[in-house]
Amino acid sequence: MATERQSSRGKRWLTYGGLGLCGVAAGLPFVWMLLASFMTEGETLRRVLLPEQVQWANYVLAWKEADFGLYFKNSLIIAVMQVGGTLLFSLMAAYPLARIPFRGREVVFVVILGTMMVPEMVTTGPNFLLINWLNRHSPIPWLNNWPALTIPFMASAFAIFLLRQFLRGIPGELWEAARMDGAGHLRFLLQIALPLCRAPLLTVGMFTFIGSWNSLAWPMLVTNTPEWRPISVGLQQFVSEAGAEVHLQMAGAVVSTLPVLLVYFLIQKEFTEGISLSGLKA
Amino acid sequence: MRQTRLQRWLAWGVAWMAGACGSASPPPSQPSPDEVDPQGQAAVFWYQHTRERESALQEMIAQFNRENPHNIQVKGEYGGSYSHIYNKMLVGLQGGSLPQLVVAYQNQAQVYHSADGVVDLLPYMNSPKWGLSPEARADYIESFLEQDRMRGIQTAFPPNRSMEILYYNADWLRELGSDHPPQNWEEFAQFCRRAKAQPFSKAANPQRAVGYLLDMDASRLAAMVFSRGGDFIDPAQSQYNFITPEAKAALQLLVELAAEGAVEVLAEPNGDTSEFGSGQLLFAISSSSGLPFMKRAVDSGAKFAWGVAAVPYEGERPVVNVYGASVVLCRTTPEQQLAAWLFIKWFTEPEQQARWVRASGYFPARRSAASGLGAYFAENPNFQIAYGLLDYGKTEPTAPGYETVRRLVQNAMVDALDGAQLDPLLYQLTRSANATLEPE
Repeated sequence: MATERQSSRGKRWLTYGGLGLCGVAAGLPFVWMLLASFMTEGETLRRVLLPEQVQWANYVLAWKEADFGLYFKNSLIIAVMQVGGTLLFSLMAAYPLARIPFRGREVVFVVILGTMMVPEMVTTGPNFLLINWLNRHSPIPWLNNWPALTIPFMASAFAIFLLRQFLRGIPGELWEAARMDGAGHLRFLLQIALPLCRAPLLTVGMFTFIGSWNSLAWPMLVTNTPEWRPISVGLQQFVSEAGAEVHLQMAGAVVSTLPVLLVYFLIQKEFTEGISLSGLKA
Repeated sequence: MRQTRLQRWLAWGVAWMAGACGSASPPPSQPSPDEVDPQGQAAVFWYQHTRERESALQEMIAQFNRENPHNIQVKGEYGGSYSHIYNKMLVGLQGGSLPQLVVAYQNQAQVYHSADGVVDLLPYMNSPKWGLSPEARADYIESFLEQDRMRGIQTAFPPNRSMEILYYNADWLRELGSDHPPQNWEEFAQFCRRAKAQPFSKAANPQRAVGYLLDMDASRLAAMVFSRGGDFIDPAQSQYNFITPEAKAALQLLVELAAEGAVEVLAEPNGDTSEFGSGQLLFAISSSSGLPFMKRAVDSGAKFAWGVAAVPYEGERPVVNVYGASVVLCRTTPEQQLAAWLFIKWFTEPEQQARWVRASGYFPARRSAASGLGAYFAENPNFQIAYGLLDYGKTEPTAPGYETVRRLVQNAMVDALDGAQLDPLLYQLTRSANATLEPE
């Protein structure tokens, strides 16, 4: 009995030790980013561990020099639109795939899943051609504007998959009871399924927000002017072909990471729940 | 100049499009520039510059817009890094949305040209009405112009250039018993070994001493091969050849020095600048455009005397790897093309060139620009030394698939340092590189 207890304690120590190490490994880059953001340029070049004197001015300089105010606002608008659109369209697509039987439903689902296997680099060219065509033929410009930055990302196969998995798990009895009360699919979705979907919806929202916030290649492709460029472009300002101003770049990186961290801390519980419900490992 | 997988896909799309459209719809014939009126035209210019360089460029653009007699309005737009701009161009070529002027490396310009996305600049340069006078034409450094010329077509135009140079810690070299930088590769190797054994007295970390940090970059190997009298490709740009004594000797030396610990592989971007500034690295070989960064690193680091020189060489005179992006004139309308050309012409006039050099730290494309740089040379003696090496310039291949070849060279460098046999490695590299020259 004592040996069993000892062995279980040993396992626990091993587990916590391993997790602790992983935590340190994951946290170190953030700590370095934070420390470097308070250093002088010379200190980053000399690779010292701690700044001799905290350089708050780096934040002011980074904010001003890279026009972070504009980029921050743009990123926020783009992310909110992407999250809203993704939640709306993914839920509308996931619901029938999960709860309305129709011929070819599984085929449609497999095709949607199949799009996840196509690398992004393959679709970039065709996507741009489509956006370019829409830019010429629609009443509002798409390039250098919010539509090109948001609309192509409002339908996500991953989000559809995640929400479908959750919606399938809602007991049939709830649907039967709702039908008895005269509810149709839309009412069932809005009044019963939606409140139950809080965790997966927040998870999808979180993933979409992070993806949107960090995107750089696509925004660079569809924008030529700063009016709608996101914050990742602002960070690029501190990198030139001959070197980087690491202290300013890191100050900018801290600023640009804050919203993601804030959102994560606000929905941490639901996010973890959503991940575990979907059967995915984060 | 590294090519991502996305760029390979996009380049394939452009090549396919060029192949599919090539026979069916040849590009429309261009009227002579002399017959075109640029009055009131607008031109968009995509560039990669940020911060001080971008501000200076925007000021110059504003001056051009104010002062040009044709009321041409140029709009400068930051297009991201070279890589982002290349992506934008590749999709723009397929979608038909191109600016008028774009920065491009020579091999990228070839890709654009093969897709009929850019026009030949020779008619503009030779135009009696809008072109360059014989004196102005002779003032351009011919080797720069040649870099952008392929089979008689001027696909791009050089506004500036940089080169691979050797940065050395003069104080440390003195401690090692020399008052001059290494002239040849044998000397370079000796100093690297001695540096390993005898760290610099002012080093931030006295335990750390490295002769040279090798960046796995094709331009580094090119500089080492050129300086030994070799090349990556034949003069007609039709066959790559890495099975040469120069390529083998360059790699062999690096492998030996790495095995002894006198040379290490660069593990992070610009890590050599940090280590050099901290007095832990004796030599750095990198772009002359990094001179201001190196100065800042030393000034805020170990504060020692340092200098620049040609990379060590084996012949009677140095050979330096000169490179840098040019600008291409995209195929838009004849009027817009002419307007964009007039901006390039203005930008490369000596006065503007001198101003651009002061702002950017690049080398000018015209010799006479040096006359306006006296004060700048006096303030930046290392820049002047590097500028003096321009006459020894040699350039990397300009063949369209060179982006891919650069990646192959980089992989070969990694394999060599991992212990691969050099002969089969260079044979395979030659085969793979030549495959990029075959038509799709």
